[in-house]
Amino acid sequence: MIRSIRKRHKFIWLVLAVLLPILFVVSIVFRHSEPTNQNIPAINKKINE
Amino acid sequence: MSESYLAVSWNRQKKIYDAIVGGGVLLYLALFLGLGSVSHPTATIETLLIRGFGTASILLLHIVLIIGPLCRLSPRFLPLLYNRRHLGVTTFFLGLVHAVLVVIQFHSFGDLNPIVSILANNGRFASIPDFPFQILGLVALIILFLMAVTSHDFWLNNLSAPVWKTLHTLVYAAYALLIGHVALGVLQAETNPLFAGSLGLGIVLVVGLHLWAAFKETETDTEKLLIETGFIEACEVDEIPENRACIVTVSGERVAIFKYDGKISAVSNVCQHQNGPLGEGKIIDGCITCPWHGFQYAPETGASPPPFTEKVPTFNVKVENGKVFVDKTPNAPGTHVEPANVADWK
Repeated sequence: MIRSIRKRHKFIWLVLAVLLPILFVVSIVFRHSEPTNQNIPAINKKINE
Repeated sequence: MSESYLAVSWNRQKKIYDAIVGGGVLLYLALFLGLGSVSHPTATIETLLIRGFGTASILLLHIVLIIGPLCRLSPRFLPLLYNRRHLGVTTFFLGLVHAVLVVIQFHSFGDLNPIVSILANNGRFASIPDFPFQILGLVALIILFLMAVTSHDFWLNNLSAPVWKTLHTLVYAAYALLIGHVALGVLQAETNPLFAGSLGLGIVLVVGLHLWAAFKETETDTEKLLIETGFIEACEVDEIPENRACIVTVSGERVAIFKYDGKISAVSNVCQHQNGPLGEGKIIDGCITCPWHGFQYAPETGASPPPFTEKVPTFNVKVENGKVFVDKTPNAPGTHVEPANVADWK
């Protein structure tokens, strides 16, 4: 009874040990790049000139 | 121990435990709001509250999840297990406040019902950066709700420990959903490596400790060899500390063999309350005492002292040449078994 529960726990955590790192890494790798305002360098350049 | 479903009374330890949990949560929220308003001066109080309650909830869930394996690895952590259910319920309430604030902030001012809005306002399931992560949080919150409402011993008694434990295994699904909720949600906007690093560390800690404890348990489950007449050589008498037990696996289940007052008795390792490991407990006032919540059983009969009614199976034991032999067939719960006398072989 308890042994089967322990086996199930072990299986669940083996699966999560594979899935969670994949989910974490994929979510970081494929996130949007930070939006940048293309006008700001131009404005800065004008100010400096 | 229980009659009328009052397994653990509202004692001093529980009050201290809950005071520490409540104080810790309030301190965390105060620090989060204080530091957040300084580091993010443009953030609104609503945003800070949403993130404060959300992070408090997932932080507490990590703590809840590591208590189990920590206790399997070292008995020093057992006091944390004593009232873990209150931590779980607190996790749910923190998540609930987070969800209510999100609904008010983002889903209350449109034409759609707020819950429908959560489910229908974003259908980009194929996109990683635009994934509808709020649905993951909603499903996780429903699971945490189910666990919170069934956390009382009333449900444990009515559902039976194996069914109750299986139901509460859903917390692992809730954890995976919440990792997805955070990774596909706030981490898509917050690019500070501190946030991603904290979540990654949490995953490594929780998964690593669970696997470590699981593999350690596998060693204990190695079957002992069957000796003649249905008895199994379990361990040496000298291996068992006084008023403690050694645990062996017999016919697929664990047996706790206790040494006390020059005697040896064997009972099932499984406490009838929450299936706690009796063999990791000790003899207190003549009774085997479960290390999780203090349920007690007489070592000779496996029965709780009156007026309590819990019973665990007993095993016939004998001592020969300094070795303990256990019958592979358990007796019915509560069956009296004459203890083996340690002095017989000395």
